[in-house]
Amino acid sequence: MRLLQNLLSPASPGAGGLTVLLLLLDLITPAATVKHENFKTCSQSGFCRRNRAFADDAIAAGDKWSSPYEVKEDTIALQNGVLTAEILKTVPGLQEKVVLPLTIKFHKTGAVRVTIDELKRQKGEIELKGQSKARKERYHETERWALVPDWDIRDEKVVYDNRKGQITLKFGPESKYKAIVTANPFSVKFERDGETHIVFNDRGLMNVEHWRPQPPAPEEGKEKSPEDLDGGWDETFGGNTDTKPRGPEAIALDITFPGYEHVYGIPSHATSLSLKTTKGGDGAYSEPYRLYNADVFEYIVDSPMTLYGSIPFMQAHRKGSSVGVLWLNAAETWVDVVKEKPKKILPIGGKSEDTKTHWISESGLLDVWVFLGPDPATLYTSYGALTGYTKMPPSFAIAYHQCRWNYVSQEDVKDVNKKFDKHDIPYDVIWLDIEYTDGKRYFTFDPLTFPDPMSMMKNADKTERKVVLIIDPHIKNTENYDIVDELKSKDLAVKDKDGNIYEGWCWPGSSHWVDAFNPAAFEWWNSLFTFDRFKGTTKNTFIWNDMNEPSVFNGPETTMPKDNIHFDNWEHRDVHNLNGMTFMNATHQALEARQDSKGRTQRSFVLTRAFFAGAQRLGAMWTGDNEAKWEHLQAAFPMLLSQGVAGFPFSGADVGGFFGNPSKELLTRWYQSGIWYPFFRAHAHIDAKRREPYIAGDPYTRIIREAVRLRYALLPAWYTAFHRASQDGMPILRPNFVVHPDDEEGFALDDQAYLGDTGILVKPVVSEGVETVDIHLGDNEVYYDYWTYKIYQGKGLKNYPAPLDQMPVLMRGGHIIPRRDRHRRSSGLMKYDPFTLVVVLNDKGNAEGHLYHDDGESFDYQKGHYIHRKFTFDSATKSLSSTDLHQDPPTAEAYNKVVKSLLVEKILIVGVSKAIKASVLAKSKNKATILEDGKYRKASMVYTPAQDNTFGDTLLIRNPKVRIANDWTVYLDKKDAGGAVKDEL
Amino acid sequence: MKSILLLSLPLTLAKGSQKPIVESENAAWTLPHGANPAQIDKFRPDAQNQFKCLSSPYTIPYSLVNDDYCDCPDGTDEPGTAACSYLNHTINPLPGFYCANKGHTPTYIPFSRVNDGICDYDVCCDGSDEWMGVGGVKCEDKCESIGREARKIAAEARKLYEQGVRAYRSLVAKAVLLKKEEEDKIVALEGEIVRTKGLVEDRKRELKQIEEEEKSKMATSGGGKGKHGQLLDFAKERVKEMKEKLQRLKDEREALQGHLDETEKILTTFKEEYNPNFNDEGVKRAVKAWEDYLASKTSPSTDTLDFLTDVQAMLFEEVNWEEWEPEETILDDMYAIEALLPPFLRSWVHGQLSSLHDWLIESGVLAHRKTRSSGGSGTSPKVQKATDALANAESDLSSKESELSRIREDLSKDYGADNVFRALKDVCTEAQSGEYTYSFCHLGRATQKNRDGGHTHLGDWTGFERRLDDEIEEEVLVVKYERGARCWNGPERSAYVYLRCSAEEKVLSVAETEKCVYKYVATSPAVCGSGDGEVPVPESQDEAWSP
Repeated sequence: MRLLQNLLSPASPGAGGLTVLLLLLDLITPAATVKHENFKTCSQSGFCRRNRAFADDAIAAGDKWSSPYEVKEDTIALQNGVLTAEILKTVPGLQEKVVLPLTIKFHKTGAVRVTIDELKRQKGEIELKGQSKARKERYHETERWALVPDWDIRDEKVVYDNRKGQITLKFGPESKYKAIVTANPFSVKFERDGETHIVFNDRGLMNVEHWRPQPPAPEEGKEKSPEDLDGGWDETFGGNTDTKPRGPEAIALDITFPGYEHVYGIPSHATSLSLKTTKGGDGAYSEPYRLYNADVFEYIVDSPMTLYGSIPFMQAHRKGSSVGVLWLNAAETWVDVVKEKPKKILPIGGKSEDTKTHWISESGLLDVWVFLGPDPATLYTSYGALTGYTKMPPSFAIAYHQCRWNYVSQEDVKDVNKKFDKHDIPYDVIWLDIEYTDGKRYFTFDPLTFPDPMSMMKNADKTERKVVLIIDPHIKNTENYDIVDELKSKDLAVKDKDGNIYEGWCWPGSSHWVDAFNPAAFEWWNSLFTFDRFKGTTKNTFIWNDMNEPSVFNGPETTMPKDNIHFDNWEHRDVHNLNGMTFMNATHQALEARQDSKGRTQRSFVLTRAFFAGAQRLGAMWTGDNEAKWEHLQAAFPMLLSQGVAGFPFSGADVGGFFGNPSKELLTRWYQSGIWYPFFRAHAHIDAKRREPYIAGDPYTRIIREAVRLRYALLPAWYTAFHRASQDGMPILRPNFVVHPDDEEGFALDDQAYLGDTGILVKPVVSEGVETVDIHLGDNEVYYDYWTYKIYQGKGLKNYPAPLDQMPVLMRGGHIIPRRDRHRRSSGLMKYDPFTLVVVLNDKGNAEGHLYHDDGESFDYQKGHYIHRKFTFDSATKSLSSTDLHQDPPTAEAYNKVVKSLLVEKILIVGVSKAIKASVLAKSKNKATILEDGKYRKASMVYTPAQDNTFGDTLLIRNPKVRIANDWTVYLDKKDAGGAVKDEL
Repeated sequence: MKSILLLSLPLTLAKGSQKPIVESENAAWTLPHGANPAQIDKFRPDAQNQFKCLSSPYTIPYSLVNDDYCDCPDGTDEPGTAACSYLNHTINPLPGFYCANKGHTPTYIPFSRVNDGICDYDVCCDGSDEWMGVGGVKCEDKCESIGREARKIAAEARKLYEQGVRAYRSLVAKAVLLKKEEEDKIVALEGEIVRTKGLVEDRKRELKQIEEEEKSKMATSGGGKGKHGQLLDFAKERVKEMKEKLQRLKDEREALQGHLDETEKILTTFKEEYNPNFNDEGVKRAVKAWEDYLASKTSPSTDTLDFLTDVQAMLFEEVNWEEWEPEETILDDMYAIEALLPPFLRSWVHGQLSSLHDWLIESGVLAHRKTRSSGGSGTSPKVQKATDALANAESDLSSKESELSRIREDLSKDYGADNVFRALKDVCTEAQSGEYTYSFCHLGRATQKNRDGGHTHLGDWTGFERRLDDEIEEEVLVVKYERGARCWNGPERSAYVYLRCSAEEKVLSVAETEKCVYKYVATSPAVCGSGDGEVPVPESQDEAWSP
């Protein structure tokens, strides 16, 4: 009866019937995650499958295996720092050997480039399948895009010695580097100081799939020809068939790092900084790392799966040494990593394992750069000398960016702007995703929601804020759209395999893609961004390039067919990983070319999703569409550290997580973490709830505000770190192993980092409900809590309290940190504010730091209009002095006048040593003596003792008013400075 | 930030270890920049020419006030500069830099905006926030023109407000009348209900009488078995018939269930495998509809499973007819045979299965079949007639009763202060915003209409609450519209109408503040009684400072 009464309750009989019917069903599916089936595994990618099998066979054969490549000794020649020779490949069943021209180039910095081509293809003596218009050569233009224009500076002093099938080349600084080429089978060993650091073809896995005509299908019952490679002539995946007009053409090489237990780099993967092995086993991956720029929807963490961008640079590191390789190939690439106990004697400092890697690319040259270190800093500098250093960004670009898909109208934008000010949270840039356009036509604004974009730009500009607009490479294929009309009429789009304009689907529906490999496309693209042409934009408008892998919704693996044809008839296969960077490059150049009414230009800011080695010269990247989950917050730091290692440190992850809705705790922790991302932007999916920092309410909003303010206070330190990256490639956010290259316990650490040279060590909280964290100290130097000056000392793990409103931040002794403490609405409005110098003394009572400063927007810094200071605190003289690091001081004079009014308002010395304290308190009467412009004056000092010996004491110099552009010295205990000393409090 | 370092300086100075650096002459003393004249005494130097920090127990030499360096731990020594702007808001008791704004309203501007090179006329019309002229900025005093403009706007707003108050009064008067009407209806209905109840009683008596007459007829006529036997046969037949029907419906149900399972499986695969990046509106709509459908499904309750088991059991249950063979005085029990299938169960099972059947026909899953005639009843025409008469009376009664309870409920509903919204019932207002036209009807529905005439249901009226209207920084009455159409991948839509006082019903703006949450700002005389949206005419004299 109970049952029936309950059932009698439905309000309407219809609903009752429906209920009865549906009650038995429960078909609600679990939440979606990455669509694995949309992306290939190695075994689904013919050339990867073939080369992995080749490697398995070679390894299984053990000592019986012989690599079929041999240097033909009478072809060897050395001229102007370039060695040339022919490698012969023996093919079973073929009389004729395949000729593979070898080039070894020696770069001035000590880097070496080994290139292997294929003679028949160089000469064009091959037949293509079908009517293909594709080029016959192996693609050799990667260097044109990836390397700096003047990369080819040779080491002319190479010493060459050829005996008994072994060629020894001495090169590099003081000729301490050696490359030993063994002729048969071909291998190359790279030595530094008598130790082997890198070996090519150590395991005999080298493979150059030479061109061959497609063998006829085998007769029934007969085995197919060994030349008929599996998946070599066409390949179907997800309903798309790749016609492979040149047949199989993969190249592969094994590269061994003897005695190196850790390898880093080859971003972008959502994985640890120290790369895991890929051939199965505990905690290891079973797939190789894949580099094939792709729009991976809802990507998963802890995976070697490919992501949006790729940099084929790998660093191997051990105590006492760091070396690296750049695999200069932009085709689809897979990298296997294994670690094995070495058979041979260990090099000094080497651990018990060798790291052995196996690189496989689908097409193009076998082209590898080797860098012999010897330490991380030198390695990054020599890698950057080739691929370029981080572009000096406009200063707003390193402040806080507020993004969302989408701010729906210009009123919405103004409202968000107003609310940030109301809640006193600084921000510099507001972003507009695709919905601002008129029907996804780039270079237009929706007339209903953004009828007057100029007023929106001006409103932002009132407080020196910027607007970033998204412009993607897919151009809507529609009527009455001048951009697509020009794209077609000027013939600047990517073609399909038959040479017709390629049509695919993306946000606008049917679209065409700009071919930024075409120089004419660059020119055209430049013309689209002028203020006259792109109506509604002005000098505070900048650009975001998304979807440039390229993302093609209906393409294979959500990208372009590999047999598409680019400018000069290169196949998309050859250039895929370069594609995004060329597009970004076009946008970058277009923005730099924009001129205001007075003809002035300014630095560009472009954010890209796809990238390749060299993209650091053009702008910033972010890690793509992450999720509002703790594991994605955890994944961000290792990913960004990896970007730094690979020379592209201007990187960020979407704060808050793109997909989904973060809890208030997650959002708050993400901000506390995000303020340490070189590129600091919050972003959210269109289906996610609004989550601007003022929405959560206190205490969350208050905590987020304090975090963002810390980022702003430290902007001088960030800008200085960017400057260093722009000069010598040092990462901005540095992992423990870079700062402490001999701290073996910290080689795999990727959840804490140092900010530039400031000695600021952060370990963001990335787990839910955490109250404390353990910070690893990489040395025995003294470290102070950023706020309380509590002392942390002694190598190893230190426990740090980290409730929600506290960020684990330490200051390492021996550094001087430049800050600007005053709170403003945007970084642009801080331009007249004074600086604070925090002098954190080391165990010996010394400290050193740097400050780089310029106008933050123009190119005048290239003319010398900048300030670059070195601050030194010397315990012997008890003085802090500022000296000039400017490369050409006379060129700075004009700018020095401009910044004459920029002063230091506060000098805070942390960890005052007993000797200094005693002497200062005895002699100085709480007055510091300042020497500036040849004159002496005084400033008040306040000594604050530590509450006990677990804290640092401080000495504050009040308002010394020294100019940041000047040389000056502040003496703590100078009693008499000779003559009249002006008192100044 | 810990303030160890901040505490230290004033502390040492307060000990009197140092002489004041600059002797200021009281005669020449003026109120520091950014300080409120109402606090003049707090900012005056003391006899030793010292300044006492406002909320911390330290004193500093007066020369350090507004010297662009933050000395007081509470930041009060810099009322006129941004030097203390780095302090957390809660530390500094000063609300900001005081702009006198002579000719307009004095106000405070946050310290973070002082001396940053920007003339913040929207707050400081007198330009006094940029007194240091950093970067060469000069902000002239614009209070005269800005103040004039503001007063003009305020006067207009005041006028509108006053009109609104008048409109409000007439709305209230109308609402009183409407309420009275409803109350009158109650009185009338109550009387009618009493009468109808009497009628129902009469009809019941009549029916009982007729039934008894019919029973006695039955018992005395008929074949060898007598009426009892006839009834028993009849019952057997009916039970058999019921079972067959039940079985048939069960079979149909299972077949349909199969169809449905298959369809849902197709759709589930469809949802899993479609490419969400492909942004095909048609596909997105289909997936959304499917998700809505899934979301609106109730999870199976054990009760229902029990019910299905019961139906199953009932099909196989055999009645021991022998127990029902006639005995002596069993006449009344004869009717109890219906207990085999209790009437409510029988009708309900029928109801459920036939409504399911109807629903499936409506949705096109099943072909339409002719309804069976409900004939075959063994009731006599007389009884039938009496039964119908009773049913009519009862239905009349119940409709009157439900009308009564509807009116009573309506009267107990919250129609806002003075019942004012009663007078606005079904009054609709709309406005264009972006590509849509947004409308809402008082006590009705909020709707989003697109250019091609499509409508999206944003929610139905659910009541009122008070919320902060952050544009005018006042708490206002918000009318809630909830449980609208479910969003793609999101919640059910809802709309919140923030009302400000005006004589006119007008939508000022609509924004989607959250995914699928719409914020309307509208004017209505309905809120003119509560002071909402009242615009005070700005005063031109200084207002007193209160901490």
